Amino acid sequence: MGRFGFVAKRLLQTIPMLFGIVLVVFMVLQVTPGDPARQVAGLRASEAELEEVREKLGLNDSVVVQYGRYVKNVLQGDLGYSYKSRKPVAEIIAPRIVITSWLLVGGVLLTLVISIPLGVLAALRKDRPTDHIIRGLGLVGLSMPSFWTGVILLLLVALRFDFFPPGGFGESTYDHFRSIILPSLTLAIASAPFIIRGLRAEMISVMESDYISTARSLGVSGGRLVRRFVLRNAAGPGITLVALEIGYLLFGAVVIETTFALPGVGQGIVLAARARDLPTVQGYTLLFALVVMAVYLLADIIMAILDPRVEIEA
Amino acid sequence: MTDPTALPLDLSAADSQGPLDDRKFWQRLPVKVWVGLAIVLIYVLIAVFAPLLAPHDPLAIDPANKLASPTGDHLLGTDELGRDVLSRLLYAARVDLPIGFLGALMPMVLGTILGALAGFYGRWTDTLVMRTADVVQAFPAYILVIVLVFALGQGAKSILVAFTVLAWVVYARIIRGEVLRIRDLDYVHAARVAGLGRLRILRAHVLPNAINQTLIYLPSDIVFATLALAAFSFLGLGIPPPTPEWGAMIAEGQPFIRTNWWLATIPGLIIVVFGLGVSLIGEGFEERLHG
Amino acid sequence: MRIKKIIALFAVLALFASACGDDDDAGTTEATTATTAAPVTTEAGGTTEATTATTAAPGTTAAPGTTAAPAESGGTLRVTRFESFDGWVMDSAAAYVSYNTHQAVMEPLIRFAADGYGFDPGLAETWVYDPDALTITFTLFEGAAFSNGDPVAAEDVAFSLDVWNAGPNFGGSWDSIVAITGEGREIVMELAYPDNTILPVLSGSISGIMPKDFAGMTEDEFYNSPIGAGPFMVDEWSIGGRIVLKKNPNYHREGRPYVDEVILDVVTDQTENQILFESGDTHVVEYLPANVAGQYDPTEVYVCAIHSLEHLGMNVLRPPFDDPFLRKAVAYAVDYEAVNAGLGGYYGPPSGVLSPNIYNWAPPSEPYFRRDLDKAREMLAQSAYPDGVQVEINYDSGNGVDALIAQVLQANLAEIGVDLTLTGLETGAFLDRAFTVDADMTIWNYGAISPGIHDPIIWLAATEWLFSGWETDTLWDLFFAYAEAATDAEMQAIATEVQDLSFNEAHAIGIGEGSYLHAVSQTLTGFESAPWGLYYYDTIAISG
Repeated sequence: MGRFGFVAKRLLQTIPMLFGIVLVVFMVLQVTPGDPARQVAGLRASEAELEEVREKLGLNDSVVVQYGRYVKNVLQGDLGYSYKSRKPVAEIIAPRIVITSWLLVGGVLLTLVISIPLGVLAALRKDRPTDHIIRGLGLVGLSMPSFWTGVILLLLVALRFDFFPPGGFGESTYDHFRSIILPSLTLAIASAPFIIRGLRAEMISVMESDYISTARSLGVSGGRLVRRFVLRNAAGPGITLVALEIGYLLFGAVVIETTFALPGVGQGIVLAARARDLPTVQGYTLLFALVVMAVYLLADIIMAILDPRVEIEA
Repeated sequence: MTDPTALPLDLSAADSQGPLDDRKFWQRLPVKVWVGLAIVLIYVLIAVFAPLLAPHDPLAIDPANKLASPTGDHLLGTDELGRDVLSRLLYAARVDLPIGFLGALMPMVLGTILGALAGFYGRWTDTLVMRTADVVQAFPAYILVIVLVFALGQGAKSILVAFTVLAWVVYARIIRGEVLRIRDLDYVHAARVAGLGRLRILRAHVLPNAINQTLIYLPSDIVFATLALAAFSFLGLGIPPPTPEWGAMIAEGQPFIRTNWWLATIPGLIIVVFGLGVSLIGEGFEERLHG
Repeated sequence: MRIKKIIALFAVLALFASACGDDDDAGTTEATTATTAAPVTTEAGGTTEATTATTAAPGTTAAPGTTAAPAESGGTLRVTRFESFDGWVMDSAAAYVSYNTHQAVMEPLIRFAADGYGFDPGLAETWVYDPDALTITFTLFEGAAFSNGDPVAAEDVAFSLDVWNAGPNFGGSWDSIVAITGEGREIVMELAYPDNTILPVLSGSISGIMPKDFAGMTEDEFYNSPIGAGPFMVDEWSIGGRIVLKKNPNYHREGRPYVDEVILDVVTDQTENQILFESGDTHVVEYLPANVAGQYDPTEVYVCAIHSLEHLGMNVLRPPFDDPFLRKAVAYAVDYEAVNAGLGGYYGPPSGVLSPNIYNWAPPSEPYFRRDLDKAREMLAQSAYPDGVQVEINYDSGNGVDALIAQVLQANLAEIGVDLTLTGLETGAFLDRAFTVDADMTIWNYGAISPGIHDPIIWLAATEWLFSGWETDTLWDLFFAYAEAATDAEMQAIATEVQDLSFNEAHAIGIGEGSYLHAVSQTLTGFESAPWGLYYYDTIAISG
């Protein structure tokens, strides 16, 4: 099967997955205890008033009908209205996406900045002290709870250097930039070890492959060998690794946005869940699921394009 | 989660390990495994002997003496209700360790069962298990857990259920791969002809081969479970008070970090060292297996 | 239906851990005592009597600038709060932080005074309550207008009343108003019966004035971009995120508001709040939890008059707490000093089950519960559970103070063999259980939103005596008696009766009382908060 076939198949696979995801999101409402009508009307609303709300929200319909309606609405981009505020869910979520995007992009960039040099270095110095130190640091980073890391960074860095605001997202682009550094670093500290480890392993396996031995025997050496052959071949799995991190990064965002008072989607879902604003919670969950799915899909496609083995087959 | 094996691409590698002789395996373990084991052993001993080691009752409150600085009587000071911090840290090992270990073992067991079912029975069983695995993997499951625990209430039970539901996939893939690999081998075929049950084959041929792979993922899952527990506690979804738990202690101490910095810092360090110990074991195994 | 409605009304008020209450106030008493003649007008009349009535530590000690007319104006007032905003539907909002924001945009006709005992002008410059004629006559400020420029008129108030009445939660609160008429600046409300509670209700954020027919918008559109005649208008808002309010250029009061803009952010993390405050990135941290207030510079902690009441309800609808001896055993086993030591010195032992420092508050006729383990054991021996019992306590895990209290209770009660299982739930789930009286024990906190002891009384009824399931007919009778009472002494006797019921039956007891707290930057002048913590943004100016 060629690359095109692979991509097509992969795209087709996402369709049932989408329905599965919407189903799970829909189920959130069903399994959460408590009467949604009461959430809308208020705790002391009378039974008649509750009934009115139920009728209005279609909560009296069968679960299947409700699911069908939910799917239909979602497909039309209608995520419903927040119970309490009556604001469209999409409008609540949209402005927060920007902030979380800053955090994720910053986090991924810092992760790469940290992990590529360290991963390469560890691979080149395999089993030597440098390698051991890098891997040791990686294990430490891996074991740090990110909200704890965040607090430590706040105290050790933000409070000492005015450049870093203590929290929030600021108003200007410059503010955003300053605000996002420490949260991104916190995220990177948690995720870089995975990438370092994966990159190192991948590089070592490439370096030990026949392909590189051949290149080496042909006289390609040193930095050029690493750049031209090893890194390129390790890039595919590297991208996949970063992509696989996305679920973890999003979970990290929930915690880190809370620590740094960043009003992104991570903080948003926690607040919405606390308030039991179910349509909003569903909206966030759907967003997270779609992002994860899209990133995986993208990674697979890029992988198919980059992987030399696929290239050869094609 | 983050396991690279989650990728279908890596599965070929995961399937190819042959059995290792038990004795040789242990003899040739790298030093780091022993260091890691030593660290973990110390933690286990602390958990077991917490009642003997702890200078105070971890639950005894003394609000008049709250947020005290370290003294001879309270080596690490007291918390917001005047409880002895050191004693609480020691007792917390009895909560965090079991949850960390169980949070990794339970998915392993579930994954093994599902993987074996998928491998042996094939057809729709296989499809069902593996497609479910795909969905679980595609889903930001921890987000869902946050939502559900908010709705349903905190506690060890919901957390363990969540871990199990989320983390079994890797193990299922390993076992399934192993089953598929050997199912058609001559000697297994012969064994089946000879009337050996699937359970027997599983025990005699599949598990010994798969155990090596499993050993690599188990430690990282233990670390992950421990960290996730801490994160849930931070969000107020962890172990309910007054039971001491490291993550909850960080969260409780955090508001006082400018005056009583040790309250939040030390439980964090304790988690880091534990995670380091477990990770060293995992990495040692991995080195041993992959060279 | 009326009673039910009123219950509903007040119920939500107190909702989210904030406090609650309803209204009453000083103005009304004057009216009642003074009978006919010189109807009370203008701001905060007759508050002195009220002060004498309250024994418990009054004194809004307010660290930073109370009073004082601000010299400067302009700038951005930055506020952070731990809780999410509820949106603009006034009826269903439940958090104190929402009330603060509502009243800045959809200003009511009158305001409650910061001293907590009377009223200040809102949209109306003067008001006259005449219980004999059964009318309230408001005279609007010259130039009172909505932020879109339309002047406020009687039709707007009448429309608002319809919207208020339709609310499933507070809908019954305005039942006494049968008609609204008026011309120009004059608005006359006709009452069906004398109602001591109506002025307080009208001063609450639930009585915000909206433009007629939602200014041409649909209801949903309006609540997405609300318009009011208050000092600020909505520039941007979201439910758990940032709210930006801009100065209303059409505001009727000269010079007000002093600041050009108010930015409100939700910051759930305490350390983050503290750092933002200390670095000057926020001016006010609203409703500081008492257990962390000690982390702030004491001169920057605004301490409201003692009013916040921590309470414990025991479920009388089923065993074991249908046994009064067991309830009393619990009440005598609680170490009230320890409960309050956990709360940073801002709390003290309870004087009853009614929030103190409020108009016509009165203590129980006997001293309230204090720790007495011998007595506790004696009560336990007389109960059906001499060997102790295991029970569950439900609390809001998002409320750090209540989580601490639950742990102290657990330790205290263990001493008499009552074994507590702690169930901390997120606010929404907690309230579901609380209002269905589903747990053995429930702890929470309440406060009023307007001055007058009937406010806490109605809250006790709305919560079935703070989630114990105790009958509420008696309370309602007392409430209506209060509304008709002629003298302060009579009203105080009613308060004492409620307190005594709590003391004699021990179904719902106070376990601590203290102050609502705000961190307020010293750069602010004009910050003044009522005992229940609500304040107005437009009186605040930023200096330097």
